[in-house]
This record gives sequence, structure tokens and C-alpha cells, in this order.
Amino acid sequence: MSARLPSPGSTPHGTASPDRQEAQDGLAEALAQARRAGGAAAPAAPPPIGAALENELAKLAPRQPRRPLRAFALLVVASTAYAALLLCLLTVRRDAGELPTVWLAAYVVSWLLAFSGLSWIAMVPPVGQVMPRIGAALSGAWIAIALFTTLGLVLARSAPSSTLAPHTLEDFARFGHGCLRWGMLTALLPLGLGAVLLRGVIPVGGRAVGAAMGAAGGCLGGAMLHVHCPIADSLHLGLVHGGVVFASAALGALLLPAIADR
Amino acid sequence: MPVTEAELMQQYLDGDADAFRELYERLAPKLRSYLLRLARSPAVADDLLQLTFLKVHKNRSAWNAGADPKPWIFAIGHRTFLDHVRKAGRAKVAVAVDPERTPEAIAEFDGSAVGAADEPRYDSALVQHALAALEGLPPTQREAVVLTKLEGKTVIEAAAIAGTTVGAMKVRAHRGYVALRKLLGKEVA
Repeated sequence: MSARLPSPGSTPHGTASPDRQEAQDGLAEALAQARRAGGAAAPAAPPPIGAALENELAKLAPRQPRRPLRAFALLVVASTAYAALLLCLLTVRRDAGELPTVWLAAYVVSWLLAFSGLSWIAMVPPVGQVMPRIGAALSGAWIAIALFTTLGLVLARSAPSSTLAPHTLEDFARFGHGCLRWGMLTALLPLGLGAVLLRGVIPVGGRAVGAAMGAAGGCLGGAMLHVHCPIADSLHLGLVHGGVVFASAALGALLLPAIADR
Repeated sequence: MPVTEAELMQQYLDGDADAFRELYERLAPKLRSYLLRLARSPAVADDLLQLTFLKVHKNRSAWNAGADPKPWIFAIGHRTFLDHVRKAGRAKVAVAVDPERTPEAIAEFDGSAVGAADEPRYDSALVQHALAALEGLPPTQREAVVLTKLEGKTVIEAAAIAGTTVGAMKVRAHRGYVALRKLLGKEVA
């Protein structure tokens, strides 16, 4: 079927060929016509509510709507308590008294702010909406990964009691393995709890929200590690502690859609 | 004052089945129209519509008080369609243009609009041709063009329904439009 295009008119695209201009104008108007005609015509009446749905409606019972702020508060309180419990099972870093207090405190506050901020983005939708911001979730995860990897690489501090890991791959892996394990363990509860609290909320965009929730858990893991781990090596701080955020975000992107779908 | 969809959802959660029926009457026609454009088959669109509202019912506690449920319900419909395609083993998303299979297409796409008698009238074949050319696009670009150009959704609404970022939706819609333009440009006699 060949289409007849309208006669050419002037267009802002002065360099396009006349045929291309016609195609551009014709296409835009054709799609607009289709949309207007579709809007003007009364949509076909949908089928009646099916038997399965009518059966459900027959036994309809009241249910509470979701409360995003309450869910967010529950997540933050439970996750922070869990991280504190893990820290009690481990130890506070032996060089804590020798390191600059401002550096220690500011770093931990940064981790916790990132944990809270990413959890907020994942759990609390914009006013008047049901689903969280997908774009903000994905951006937030990537920003957290980049930020804490960079901070670790450039802002490492050491004290006489600090552990400085030798720069061999074997030692890097040996020292890194333990921190990665404890960091991911810390991230598991906020990730799992967040997924449960988001059930049914995100029919689409689950991977982006999962990445944000995972990164949030990773930031909480980073805060816990910062209070526990005495290794002052910049590569360790950047690639392992920062790497916890990346690994948790990846895990969240994989797991959250499966848990939150129902 | 007419009751909003948010108020109907609240009544529905309070246990009022008639509120659900009212919500269904309001949203099902447009949702079915959207599913029909994706699924190409009225029977499949009807099944997907019922599945979508079953999921809405099952997940009604996921709605938060005061929120507009429409984007969320459309996203559930979108996801229901994608699950159907994956199960059927087909990745193809098509736009219904065959009048014999979708009678409402005759009324929807004949190039005329109510109250627009004085507007320049375009050849309805161009409209049909443009819609047929949509089938040649990759699924993500096709969905983007359907949502933004045919359904009239904003980029933000379309991104929310498709579960992607606004930037990605803009790119998909632009690439789909450029590809359509090239396809139509080749057909100029």
C-alpha cells in the first residue's frame, strides 16, 4: 500500500530534502491524526468482569493501604539495629582513638546518609504516586557506587595502629574477602526487608529499584566496616568497601524483582 | 463532585465491591485499547485485561492512600502483556491495524476527528501505512512510539508504565520516530 503524502510546506529543518520534509511533516501529522481519532472515537466496551474476579469480589474484605513512610521508618530502624548487632559481634577498629575524629565521624555519617537517601528513593514514591522514581533509583545506585569508591581511594587515613595491607594481589584478596563478606551480610537484611515491603508496588522497574535498595544495604555495610575495619590502605577502602556497594546493588537488581513480584 | 479514582480505590480497600466495579468501568476501556494495540488480538487483550485486574485485586494493599492508581494499573497491564509474550515465546510486539481483526481500528484510524471538519484531511492510507510501519520497529521503540504518539502519554508517564527512566524513554521514542520516518521516506513515490 503506497501512501500519499501531503504537499510540502515550510519546515524548520531547512537542510532536509523536500521529500524528507514531507515525510517528516506527514508522519507527525499522521500519528497525531491517529491519536486524535482514537481519542474521539468511543473505545469499544470492555468485557464484563470475569468469573474469577467476581468470585474474589464476593468475599471482599477490608484491607489497609500501604504506608510508605511507615515502611521506610521500619526499614531504617530494623536495618540500623541489625548493623549495630553485627558490630557487637565483631570489634571496633583498634586505631579508632588515633584517627581524626572528624574524618571518622564524617565518613560514617556519609555512609548512613547514603543508606537513608537510597532507601527513601526506593521505598517512598512521589506524592500522589504509587511507584517509586525509577530514574532516581538507578542514578542513586550508580552515584553511591562511584562516590564511595572514589572517596575510599582518595581520602584514606592511617594511624600507627592501622593495618596497611601490602600491595600484592594475594594479600589484597585475603584482606578483602573478609570485609566483602561482612559488608554483604550487613546489606542482606535491608535488601530482603525492602523487597518484602515493596511487594506488589513495582510491577515494572524492579531491577532499578532493586539496585537502589541493594546499594542502600551496601552503604550500611560500608558504615559498619568503617567502624570495624582497621585497614587503612586506599585500594582496600575504595575497591573493597566501595565494592560492597557495587556488589550489593548488583545482588539487589537480581533478587528484588523476584521477591517483590506477586 | 465526581469521585476520583483515588477515592474509589480507598472505598474498594474499605471493602466496597461496587467501588471496584466503578473503577473497572472507568479504566478498562482505555486499558483494553492499550493492550489491544500491543497484543493484536481482541481475545488476548480481553484475557490480559482480566489478568491485569486480578493482579490489581491481589496487590490492592500495595496502593497508598491518596495516590492516583492509573499509572500503576497501566504498568501492571504492561507487565502482564510482557509476561504473556515471554510465556508464548514471542518477543514481537505488534500494533493492530487490520480492520478485520480489530473493528474499532476503522473508527480510530480513519484520519478524521470529531468536530474537525475544517481541518485538512490526510489520506487515511498514510495513517494506516504509518501504523503498519510500526511493526518493523524493535519492541522497545515500538512501545515507546505507541505510548507517546498514539496513547498521548507524556514521556514521564510512558517511562513509569514501561518501568524505565525518562532519559531511556526519550531515546527510544526518538529512535523509533526516526526509524519510522526513514521507513516512510523510502515509500514516497
